[in-house]
Amino acid sequence: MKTTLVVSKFTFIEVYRSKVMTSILFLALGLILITYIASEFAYGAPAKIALDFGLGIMTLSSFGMAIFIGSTLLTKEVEQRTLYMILSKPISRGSFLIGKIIGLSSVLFINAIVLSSLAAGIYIFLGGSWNNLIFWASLFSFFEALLVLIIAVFFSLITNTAMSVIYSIVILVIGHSLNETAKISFAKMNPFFNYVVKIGNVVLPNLYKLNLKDFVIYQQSVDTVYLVKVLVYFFLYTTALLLFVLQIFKNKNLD
Amino acid sequence: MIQFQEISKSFRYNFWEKEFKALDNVTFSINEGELVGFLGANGAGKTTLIKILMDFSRQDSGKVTFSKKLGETSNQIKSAIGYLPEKAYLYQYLTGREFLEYSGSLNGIKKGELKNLISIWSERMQIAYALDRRIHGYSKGMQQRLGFISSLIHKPKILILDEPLSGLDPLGRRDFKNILKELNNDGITIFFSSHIVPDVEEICQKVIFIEKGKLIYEGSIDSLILKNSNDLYKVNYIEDNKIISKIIHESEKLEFLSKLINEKVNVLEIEKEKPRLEEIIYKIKA
Repeated sequence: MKTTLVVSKFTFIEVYRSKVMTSILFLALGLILITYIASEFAYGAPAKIALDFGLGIMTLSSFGMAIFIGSTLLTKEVEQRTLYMILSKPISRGSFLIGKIIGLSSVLFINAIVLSSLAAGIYIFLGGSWNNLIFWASLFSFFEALLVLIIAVFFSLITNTAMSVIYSIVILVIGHSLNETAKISFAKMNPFFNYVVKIGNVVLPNLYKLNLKDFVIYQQSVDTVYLVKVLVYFFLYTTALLLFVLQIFKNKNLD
Repeated sequence: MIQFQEISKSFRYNFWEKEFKALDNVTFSINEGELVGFLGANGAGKTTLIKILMDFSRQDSGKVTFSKKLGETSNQIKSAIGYLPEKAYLYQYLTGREFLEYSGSLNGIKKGELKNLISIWSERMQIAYALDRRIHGYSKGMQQRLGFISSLIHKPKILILDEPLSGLDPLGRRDFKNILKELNNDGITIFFSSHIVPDVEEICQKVIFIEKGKLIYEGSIDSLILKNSNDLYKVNYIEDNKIISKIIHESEKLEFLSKLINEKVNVLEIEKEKPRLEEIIYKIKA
């Protein structure tokens, strides 16, 4: 446990000083600009539009970072041979990988906090009123990014960086659309397609459930039971995926 | 201390390509207190074998056995080993000090002791002045020195170094070789790979030589040289104010020397004609 925290601490310092943090700053400036422009074009509900744009940009940037960082996490370490230096110390491969993921997820967390605070700030500035759902939507967006990060790490272990990025994006898109796909009449009518969608719903992450933005913008409330169910789903799915990734990494040839 | 038993490893880079055998039944051992040079041309299989030793890569067949003196669990063994990979490109956004703190913390060294060790070794490796700079501003030699400190800061029992002298300037090479000799005199076993024969000849007692994944020679450098020497001696002496060199055969050595002594000739030196390790290696390869 101690060695995991050591790895996460120095991973965070390394990423904090890299250009990733500068990109968060630029994203924040971009977010202010875009939400301002979007709210100017919105008729009647500028605050809602600003919040919608703000949370959307926060989610997209978190996905971008998660996919980019996750896909290059281990390949970069192997290329630079830093992985060899660290794994030659008394630390297991599992502790190293978890430490890396914790260190990198703290960067995603900072991104989520900075951008969602900014989005909420603009929303309130434009006349919106605070709703606790904004917090939950931001937190779930961070969870979603964390899951995408682990998916990207998983693909980086079994393929190259470029393919890992592509596969992660594909899973991201499917994870968001599978829930709604099951509802279309073609899927309901076609037994084979219906079966495939059902399997997909079990194996692939249901990212749609983690997206609370629609509740924030349109419904302004969400059932607590639904929140708890989604949280449980997230923790179970993430744990299972992480265990699977650790098993692959443990047995991987680091040539 | 470490035994390699019939290690084989093959690579196939593409499904349709033929398998490439990187290591073929390699068997040798590293004993306690030795300073062993691991020789071989680029691509001979040195790094692959070291990666197998460090458990980064798995062999197709064969076994690596560690002596109980190094420990029984994986973490105990790792604590007893100091490792430096070839061309390490360290964490560029950390400072040198942070990197050493990172390495030391993973080895479980306490904060106060770590600070002291960093100070001692950075002075010894002449890098103390740059410790608070970020590593991306370091030259290759400086990164090599920093990596070297990180590999020995926890006082390992054995050092495994992959091409530690490559990329260093002549002064840096001399410093590194001196430190390796000192560490070995202090009882640390050292196993280092190199493709530069004179470096190995200069500081090692034992050499392991592999070529195209096969073990060619394991043993002491002296016995390899003597085995490949002829029975000729070179005698230097002064005659008529000139230095004369004469090559004589073993069988005539005593007679020739007695003659010179009887004639009260000033004999400067007598040396057995022996080839350099590099010449022997070339001969074996040919």
